[in-house]
Amino acid sequence: MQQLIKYTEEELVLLLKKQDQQAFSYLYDNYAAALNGVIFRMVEDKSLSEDILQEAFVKIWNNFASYDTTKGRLFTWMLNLTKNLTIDTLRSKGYKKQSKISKDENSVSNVPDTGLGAEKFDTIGLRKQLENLKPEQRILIEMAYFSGYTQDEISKDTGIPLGTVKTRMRSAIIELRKILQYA
Amino acid sequence: MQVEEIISSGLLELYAAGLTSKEETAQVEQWLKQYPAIGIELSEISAGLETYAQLQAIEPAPGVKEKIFAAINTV
Repeated sequence: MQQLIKYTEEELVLLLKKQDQQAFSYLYDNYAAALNGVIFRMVEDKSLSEDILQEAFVKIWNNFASYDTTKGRLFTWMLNLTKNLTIDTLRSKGYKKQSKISKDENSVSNVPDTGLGAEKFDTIGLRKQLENLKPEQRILIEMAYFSGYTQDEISKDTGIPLGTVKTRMRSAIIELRKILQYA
Repeated sequence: MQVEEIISSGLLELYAAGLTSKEETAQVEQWLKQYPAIGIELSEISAGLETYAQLQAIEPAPGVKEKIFAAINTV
């Protein structure tokens, strides 16, 4: 669907605080696929992933008043809410917490191309840029971002000391930022 | 703590990825209140991660959006 209106993050937040459904529709169109991608990587089940996505968006709508702009970007808040919901769902379904993230360094490029990004980014160009990320940096970002892992769990699972997880995570995210900035 | 020390601590990156402990989260939120520069830094870190997530997006089935709107319009 063609988006006629484009909101800045501030406008969007203001409208959502007023329970504006058009703004919510815009929010969905712009972020649902990204959040769905994160959920899917955690649950590896398309239909369960969409059920959780649906629940997450209803929660985002109902709890929007609790979003505090001073604590971070809108997407970060939505992502954390979604990740927590996914972890809770997996737990309630009796799933054992385990890494769904492939340690294979090529896993990132195996994600199905959905076309959503194409409208907003030079997707192919950016994906190529991501190849500049060192495999160990990419794995760390994947584990942090696309799993319900805590720092301790990442440390245990990879055998990397906790302090090193922190410093490597930092350099990985800095590298990511550089890559995406100049892409 | 000085702003530069905070930025180089690595905590902002972990906070942006949702990986901080309760205590660390409280600490970062305290800094965010105290120093506007920390908010700007965090926003840039988060924007990078956001783009990364957008690149790995998976379009949900078309019916999902309708179900969500039906749910929020049912009291």
